Amino acid sequence: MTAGKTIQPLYSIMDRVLEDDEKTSSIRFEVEAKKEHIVGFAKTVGFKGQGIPPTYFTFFRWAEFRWLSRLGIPLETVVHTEQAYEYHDKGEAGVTFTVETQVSQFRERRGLKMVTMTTRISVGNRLVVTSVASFLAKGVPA
Amino acid sequence: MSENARQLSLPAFEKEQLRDYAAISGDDNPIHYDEGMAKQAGFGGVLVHGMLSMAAMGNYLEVFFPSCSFQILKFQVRFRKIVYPGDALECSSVEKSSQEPGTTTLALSLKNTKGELVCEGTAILRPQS
Repeated sequence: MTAGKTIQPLYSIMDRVLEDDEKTSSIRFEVEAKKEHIVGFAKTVGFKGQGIPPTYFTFFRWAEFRWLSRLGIPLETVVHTEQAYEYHDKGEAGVTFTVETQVSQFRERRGLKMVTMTTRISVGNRLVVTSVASFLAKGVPA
Repeated sequence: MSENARQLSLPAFEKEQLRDYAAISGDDNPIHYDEGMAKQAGFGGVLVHGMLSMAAMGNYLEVFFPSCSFQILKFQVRFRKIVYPGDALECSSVEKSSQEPGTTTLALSLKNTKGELVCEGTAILRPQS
């Protein structure tokens, strides 16, 4: 693949930004979980089960990337170190999820930045999934 | 059930799959598809998305605890070592005592062919009523 060529996303990650201001402590947006996207995701990762694959909610990481940008961390310096999902309720294809992401921990030591973000994924007032993701940034590449 | 009974060999990820995953997941970090950027960032080459390794562990759960019969309540992993395209993987689990009645807790391990632990985690499942 040609160096520097970007990947063209197959689907829009967010349908509507509800809150994304430099002064706010959380980023919120809405996204519809389209059936064809869920099916495409399942096929790509090799999931053969029913419904939404357990890691499908990674698709809602748009706000995590926004936060990394806000913190001055280039994406190419980041490695994902931990991921936890808690499934509170079922999500279905065709529903619109509200996604709210906050930085729950940020530490910097010896040139390494450690960031933990908590994301609450809901349908209306019904909490469906809580995601906790941790990242390590190695510093800006030479 | 013993740990050995729940071992599963998983096919290696190919570079094309990483590009497909970047497009469908929205995780377009260039270290997963751009050799130059990956090397500049200090890696040996493009590396497999951590979430793709986690998805493989999810597929492992689907084989032994199918979603038609079990509901996943919690699923967490720690990415211990970089996985590169072409690395064959093997997933296994050990059942642990569950704190919540009526649930099954599994300690999950994902190893490469060198026997190195690349990812470990926990899943808590409940039989569907």
